[in-house]
Amino acid sequence: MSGRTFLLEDWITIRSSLTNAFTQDPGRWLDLSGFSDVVIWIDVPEVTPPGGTNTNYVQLTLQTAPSPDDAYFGALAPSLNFSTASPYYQASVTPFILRSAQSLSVNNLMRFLRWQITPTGSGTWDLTFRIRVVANRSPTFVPPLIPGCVFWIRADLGITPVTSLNVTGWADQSGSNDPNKDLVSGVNPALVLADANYNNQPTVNFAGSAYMTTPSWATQLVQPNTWVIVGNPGRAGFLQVAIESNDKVSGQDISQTAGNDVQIFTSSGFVSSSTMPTPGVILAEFDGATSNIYVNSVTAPTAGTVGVGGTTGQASLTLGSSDIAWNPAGLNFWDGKFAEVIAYNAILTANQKGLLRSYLRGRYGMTIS
Amino acid sequence: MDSINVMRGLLVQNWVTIRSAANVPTITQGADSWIDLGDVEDLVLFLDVREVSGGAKMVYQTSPTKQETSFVNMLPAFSIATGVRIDRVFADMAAVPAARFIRWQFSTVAADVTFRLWCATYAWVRTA
Repeated sequence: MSGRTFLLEDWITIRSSLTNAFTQDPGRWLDLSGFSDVVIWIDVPEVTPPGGTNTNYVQLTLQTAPSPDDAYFGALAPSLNFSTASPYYQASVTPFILRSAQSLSVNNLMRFLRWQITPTGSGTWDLTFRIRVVANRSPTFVPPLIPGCVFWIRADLGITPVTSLNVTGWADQSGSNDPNKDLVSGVNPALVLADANYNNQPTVNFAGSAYMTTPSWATQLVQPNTWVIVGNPGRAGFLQVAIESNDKVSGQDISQTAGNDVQIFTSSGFVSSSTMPTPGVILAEFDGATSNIYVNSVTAPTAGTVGVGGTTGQASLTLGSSDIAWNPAGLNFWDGKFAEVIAYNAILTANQKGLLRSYLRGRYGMTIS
Repeated sequence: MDSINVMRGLLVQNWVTIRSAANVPTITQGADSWIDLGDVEDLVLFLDVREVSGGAKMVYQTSPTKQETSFVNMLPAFSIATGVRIDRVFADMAAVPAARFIRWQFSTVAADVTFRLWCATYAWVRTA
């Protein structure tokens, strides 16, 4: 291949009854010095899980390292698990496309790139595949590149377990490395591997009964702050809470009202005049008397007030329900999906909001301006 | 490495009218006219439409090779309307950035469209 397009592995079938990992031969690893980001195109037209059992799977991982030393290799992107039934990826004539991203759960692109296959389960298995790589010199944008990012979850990163559609954990990727921000489920939402409404990116479906919470939120998040929610409520005419925080005094929340508008609330509420489309983006600025709501970049007609909130910092965050600390059984569940949630400890500038919208437009195919 | 981002304008499709029959759901640009982007990472596509009927849709596709099954959409399909439509596909933001080849695909049944497609491409060029 030529230019910045590389063939990491031409068509090959790996067949074995061994349970150990198979790693690409060092002579075929790519040296991607001079590039910042890669897009991996993976063709998998055939898979046989170990023993032919569809609860077993074959895991394909792209690994990267700064030197050819085997000990340094780590995952470049989330692994793909192939089998013959859900919740695994299945053989397809359409390529699977992976992107590297700067986050906590995967490594940035380093110098060398290789593949590794790991079967899970006993019995004979095989995987037929081809891997092509398109390398870019401009790095992939991720929300923490805008200063002040204190929380970031995305449905393709930090999800546990990776072998089930039942999401029990969703780790913060903001870079603060604070486990108190990692969401754990009260009632498991379901992972959607490729959501047609979101440009075939993954989403997490809360379906009107699931919720997740942070163990605690040690970091102070006092106003002003900005929250961005990519998702959709899924059901009209009902109050559905996207997020609510518990600061023991007056937590912040973002919800769809029974009138299908978007509301943000601290000690008082403020309602937009725009209903939430699918896919949708809420950008909420919590800033005392001059708060704003943007629904797919449409601003609420006039800025409203949400009060100043508590000063003790947010003790915990509930996603998909009213604050669990106040309503232990959950209340006003989000009957829809989340693709991404981002929080900043500041009001973003117009340029920063434009950058974020460009990212969301590109990733989810949205028509926001 | 020092590099500069060099712009180049490319005519992806000169003026053409495409009219489809009821039993032909898609018409794809001919393989000889697909654009080989080489080192290009970023694209701005200018679709100039002078006439359209029948609810026609357009999609821009890309692939690392000239293999039919490899092509995927860079952007979601959109309804064609008269006027100039501008779409940006930047490598740092797009879910599927441009790979090596790009092409257009027209979809609908019993419709027609008269259009021209220009592309401004931006390539990183090594200078030292």
